[in-house]
Amino acid sequence: MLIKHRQPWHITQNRVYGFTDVKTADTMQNDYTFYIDYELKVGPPTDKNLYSKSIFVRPGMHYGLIMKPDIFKIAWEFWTDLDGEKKYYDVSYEADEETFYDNYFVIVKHSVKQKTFTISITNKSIGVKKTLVQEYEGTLADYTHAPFNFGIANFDTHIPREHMGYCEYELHDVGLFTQLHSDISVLDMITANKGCGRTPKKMLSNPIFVLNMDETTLYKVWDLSGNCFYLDYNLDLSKKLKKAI
Amino acid sequence: MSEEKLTEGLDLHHENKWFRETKNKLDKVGCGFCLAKWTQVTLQLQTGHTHSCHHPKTHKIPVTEISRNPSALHNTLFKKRRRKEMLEGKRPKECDYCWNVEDNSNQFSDRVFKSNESWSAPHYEEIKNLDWRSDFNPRYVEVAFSHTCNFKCSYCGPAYSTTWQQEVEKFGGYPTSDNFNSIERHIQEDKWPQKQTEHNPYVEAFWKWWPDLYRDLHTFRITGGEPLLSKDTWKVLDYIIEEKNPNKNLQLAINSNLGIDDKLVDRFIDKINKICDEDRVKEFIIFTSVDTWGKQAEYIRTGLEFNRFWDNINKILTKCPRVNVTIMSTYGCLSVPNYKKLIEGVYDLKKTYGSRDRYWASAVFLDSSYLRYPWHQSVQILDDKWHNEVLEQAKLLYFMGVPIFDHNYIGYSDIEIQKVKRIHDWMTAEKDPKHIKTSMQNFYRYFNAHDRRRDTDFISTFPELEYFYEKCKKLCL
Repeated sequence: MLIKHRQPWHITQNRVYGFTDVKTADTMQNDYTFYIDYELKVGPPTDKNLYSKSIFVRPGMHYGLIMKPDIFKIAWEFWTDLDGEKKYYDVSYEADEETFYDNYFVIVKHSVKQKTFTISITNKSIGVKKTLVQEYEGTLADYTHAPFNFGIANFDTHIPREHMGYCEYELHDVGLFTQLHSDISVLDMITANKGCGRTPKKMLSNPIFVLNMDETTLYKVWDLSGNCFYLDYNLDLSKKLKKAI
Repeated sequence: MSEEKLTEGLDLHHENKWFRETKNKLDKVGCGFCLAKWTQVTLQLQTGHTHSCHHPKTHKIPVTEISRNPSALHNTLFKKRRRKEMLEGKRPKECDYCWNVEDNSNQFSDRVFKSNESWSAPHYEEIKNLDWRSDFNPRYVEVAFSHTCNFKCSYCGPAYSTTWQQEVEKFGGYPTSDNFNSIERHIQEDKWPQKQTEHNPYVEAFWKWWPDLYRDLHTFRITGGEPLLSKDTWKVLDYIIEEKNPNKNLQLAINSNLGIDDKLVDRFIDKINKICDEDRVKEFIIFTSVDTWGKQAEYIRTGLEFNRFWDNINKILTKCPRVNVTIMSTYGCLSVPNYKKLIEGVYDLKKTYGSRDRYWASAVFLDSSYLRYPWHQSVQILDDKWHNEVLEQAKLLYFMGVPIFDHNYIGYSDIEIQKVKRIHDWMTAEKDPKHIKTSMQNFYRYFNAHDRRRDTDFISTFPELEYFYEKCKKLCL
């Protein structure tokens, strides 16, 4: 599914209609496994291609996966609170000019107890995998009120363009679980669910969202986890982006 | 990237603020206050019955009242007494459908939805200050001129269908504990319909009232029977086509089972286009009905040929580029197994025919209301294993929902989603086990007799419910 340039998507945290009691908001504060399979597109010539591209970001103090075309890096960024001070971390994978726009599969695991992020990045186009581990000090900053954004980080008219991070990319797969799962079990689940329709054949425990790119409407992508959280086309933001930029 | 303040506020306690405001305004007058008691009316002229809102039972219109004042078709003394209760902070007992929703869930009831409608809300101030004895011209009128109908839906009866009338005249009522659709019960409740050949004082009063009523109307809807089999329906259409100074604010709605002769469908399309092309109404909606998909829908609605029905919807939406179609689903226990297919089918129609030329870009709406009577066909009698299926149907609607409720978006609206979620909530509410047992026994007795009378086969049509049928059968032994 194409996340189009300046037409970002998001997962809302509203639990309307009482379909579920599962809360999305604080799920990335504790132990979790997040995976995403994507392929960044070279931006249109009119755009400044050297600005950072937000694949999946919780805005504010950025928390998520960001592509940096000026230095060909793929970064998992986050902030912590340490003795009242904010501290910035950037776990980076170094690609190069030839591989930057390849198809990547990224698995991020967060362990609260060990205070670590483990990020495995696979370049599917050339079959290379690298695992990075980052320990941190203090506690993870509070992202409880931040939305889950795809294709943008922040937007407000006063925010400089380089911090907005909008971009265009092909989203192949994405999922979030509030539990640590092994890379192999995540891959097994994805393989088992290929072409499964609306009902998953295999589901790992504690899913928050597991998006099914085979099932889409004009505005939404189906959530296989059953929690009824959807990847929505962010209409409001797209309208604002069209007007403002 | 640097630290930035959060830029997108999130409403973590989503609620429709318009519905909340309406509820607060209603509650200021009284906890049972509902504008629909004044603004809306259904007139069943074939039996001389009326009610304001679909939920309370109908009551008989006294002929003596309409002989003095034809608007007593709506402003009956009985209804005025219920209005008095509402204005005095009481909850009329006949409106218990809404009290049930309000007391058993955190959903808004139809009292709020109906009072929030554009045919109700503008009249709030006028109505709350009105003396309870005063007449009020309704803005939303539903009228059935006749009960002539070529269908005999399983939950319907002789008051609304001549084919049902013929069946019970031949076989009598069904062998359920309440003797469903017996002639005796209808006569006892004064609901046995008049023959079309007899003089009908209610139809006569209607045509006396019509010129005055027509000017005030926001919405006029013709129901039945099958309205396209009634001459009065064609008379209304011709009145609007010929009127020199038409009420251009009128939202005109006609019910049809779309299972009538092709010539009548074509004649109907011709009239619709005359009215729409000359802007004689603001909006033209066709209401039709189906309760699930395919053969199972045909079983529920005897007379329905599903494919022809679906073709007719496509034909109307193709040939009438400005109309909207609402599919009314009477959601009962037999709707559950295949309702998802209907949800997907309607979504396909929305996508295919969605257009800004129509009053609503979403060409088709799916209005799902739970079946309350006869109880033996309600979703409440099903066992718990079906609860999740209904919840999944509500989720599917949500998935296919519009991002913002607006004329321009195509997909399911908030109300379409909420109504199915409400069915789930009602289905899972606490029930009286004795009542459920009786209803399950009636389920078996009814469908067993149905198969014999109508040459149908429940088990081969509903293989998903075979175990349930057998379970109900055992309760009768």
